[in-house]
Amino acid sequence: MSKRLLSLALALALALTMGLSLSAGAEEEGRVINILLNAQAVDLNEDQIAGWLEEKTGFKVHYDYYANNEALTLAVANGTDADLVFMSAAMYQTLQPKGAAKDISTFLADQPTIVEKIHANGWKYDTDENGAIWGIPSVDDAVYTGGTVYRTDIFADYGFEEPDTVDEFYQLLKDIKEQTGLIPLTGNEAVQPVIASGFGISYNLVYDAETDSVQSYLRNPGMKEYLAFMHKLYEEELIDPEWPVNKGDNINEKISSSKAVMTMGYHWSTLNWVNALVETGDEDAYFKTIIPLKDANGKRHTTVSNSVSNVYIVPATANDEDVPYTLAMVASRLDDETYWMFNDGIEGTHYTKDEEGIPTPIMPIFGETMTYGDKFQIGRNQFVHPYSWMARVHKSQVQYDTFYDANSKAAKDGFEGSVLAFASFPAYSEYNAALTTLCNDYFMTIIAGTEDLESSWDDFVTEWEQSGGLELEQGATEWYHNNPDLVAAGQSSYSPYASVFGYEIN
Amino acid sequence: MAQAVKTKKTSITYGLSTGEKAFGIVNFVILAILGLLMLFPFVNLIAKSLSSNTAITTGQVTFWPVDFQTGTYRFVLKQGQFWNSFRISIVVTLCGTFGALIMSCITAYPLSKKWLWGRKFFALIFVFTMLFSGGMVPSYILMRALNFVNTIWVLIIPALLGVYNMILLKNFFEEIPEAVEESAQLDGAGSLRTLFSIVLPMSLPALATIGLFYAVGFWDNYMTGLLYITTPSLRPLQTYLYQLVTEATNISAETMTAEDMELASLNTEAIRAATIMLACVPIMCVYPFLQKYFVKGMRVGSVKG
Repeated sequence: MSKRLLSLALALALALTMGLSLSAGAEEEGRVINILLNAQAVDLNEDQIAGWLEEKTGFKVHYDYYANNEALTLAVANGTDADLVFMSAAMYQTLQPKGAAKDISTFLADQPTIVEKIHANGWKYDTDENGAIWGIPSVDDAVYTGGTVYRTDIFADYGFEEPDTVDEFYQLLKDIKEQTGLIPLTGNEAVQPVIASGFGISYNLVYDAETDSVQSYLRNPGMKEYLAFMHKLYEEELIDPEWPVNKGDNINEKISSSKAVMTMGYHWSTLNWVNALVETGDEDAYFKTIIPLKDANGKRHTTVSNSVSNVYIVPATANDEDVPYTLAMVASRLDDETYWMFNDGIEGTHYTKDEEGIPTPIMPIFGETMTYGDKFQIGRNQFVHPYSWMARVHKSQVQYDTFYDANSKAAKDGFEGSVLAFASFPAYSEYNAALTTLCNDYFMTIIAGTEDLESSWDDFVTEWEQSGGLELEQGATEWYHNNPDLVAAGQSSYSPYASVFGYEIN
Repeated sequence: MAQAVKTKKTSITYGLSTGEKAFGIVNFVILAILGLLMLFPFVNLIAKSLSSNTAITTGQVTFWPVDFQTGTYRFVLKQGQFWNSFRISIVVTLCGTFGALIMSCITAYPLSKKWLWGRKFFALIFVFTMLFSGGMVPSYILMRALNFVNTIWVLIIPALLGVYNMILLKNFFEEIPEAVEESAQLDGAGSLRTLFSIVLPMSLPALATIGLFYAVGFWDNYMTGLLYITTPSLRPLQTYLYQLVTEATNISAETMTAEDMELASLNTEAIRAATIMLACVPIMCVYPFLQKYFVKGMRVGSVKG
């Protein structure tokens, strides 16, 4: 009797175990990883790339979207169900110190692909002094996004040449105005980077070796000279009279209707302008770039975007047991072959490669299919990205030419990386954006002449200092001295595009 | 009798002094100009939605389409997300309005009865919620605790009772002569029968007006969708529109959406304009049908006997 009972108990136990293991297997098979992403123009769940990824990697992923930063904060603060949450670098700096993220350092040890494929600068940014890693960073390459673009056809017709110095630039503006009657330069920038470079201005916070501190550009005597110069251009109508009130649409309109000759332009903006100009009769219309002007010492201050643009965090409320599975999915997306596939599609169908491995998209299928491919990135594969991204830059000859012209010219004199590119400290997240706005508003009143530079400058600097400027400088200096690795990372101007294009960065 | 009325009308028409006539004309002109000013942005949107990319980029479009094309509408109508959000908004507006009218009626009716015990106290509780709310974070916590986040219910249930609208309805109910209800009750009607067979049919103008308020409120509500909905298939139309507008202005170097959205001939501004137009159409269609009640309804609760 007791044997029977024992057998029965064993059989039951076996059945239960089998049942449990079967159900566990089924759960793993049908398991869905939830990603909370910022709002997108399309639903990535419906994109065919999502299907390709699921088929290739075996991971089923569902995307939900938060509409804005408030919604993100509410979701994270109240324990989101997501396995991964996308955050801009700014929101990461706000929410991570408040405990939004889970330390994934121990889990990453089992996923060497993730660590290897993402640039070391990103990990330096994401790792705190105790070795905790708070997310998967996406590191921007040092790309020179663009300078002042000009109409090559107008320059050729009148024999104008690209300027190198502030004096040459001033003369060029005068010549354009006198000889063509058009607006020489349109825009709405308080700090126009190409002109500001001529006065030694680059980032709003730079390291000063003399004082061994990080200082605001307000401390640079060149800033006053720049503002006086811009005001002079405005008064002499050498720049757009609507400069202080221009919006993006006005600038587009002026450039694409041949009312203005130059403006700040990027490889993604020149295509529409050329199309509009050609359609309305300017058949030879094309654009090239004037890179930042040389300052009094002959140095160009060409700024680049080589920082962390976004971070995927594992929310603090996520279960530890789920994290390995989530990170395995992340690793699968950083695999070289998979990364090529979801960014650029299939070779021969969506793109072709030249002998150096640079892809050219096959249009229109690339545009129709691969538009949102880059939205599936979770961290950037530092080895593949500089090549795969070229397909996007090469979607039209106009875009490609603008990108290549600007970057190859700028690379000759070198890029200037920001010492604070990877910065994260309380005063920075508290004051930097607000103080930049404060400065821009003031600069615009000087350019437009509604305030006198000499009589208002000291008061403005005092106002800036009292509004958090001093704390910002102090915080930046402390951060600079405490984070030599990150400072070096910011200054390194790491640009893979030099090797992609075959040009040298000096 | 008809003759008398006609005479009276005639005397009124001719009774206007020159000053009054001049005032009437000036009034008409000013209001017409103001009306047109309100209309201009709308006309500009229609013009842009029907113009070519080049015409919009070069700033040629004001109030009339340039290089007429309907590709933008075809593009918007082809978007699965648009139709999905449209469906959600229709369901939310229909269910929400119907539910809100029921909630308002069954709350306003008892509160309109002077004999209700604790009437002032209950009214005060409702008014209190009109003046003070919990705020965004407590509301979010509540919705999450109720498991409403990321469900269609969060778009409907929290907005089922607009206290302002309920008070308007209560005041309207109070204007209905008690004798009417008494006679119904003498014929054996209970409270519910009196409400549904006597009071509500007599309150159609008020119901139509606050129904319209509710419908517009549900249709135009984008904030609830922004805060509580992360699943794209549940996103209402106005939230979709908000995201479309904010994203189009934030085209990043990486996505280059402008060139990608098969925009050889389209323009993001045109797409925004077309989507806004299409989002306006359904709610605009409701107005003509409720017009006859509207003027009457506007006076709801304004005179108390």
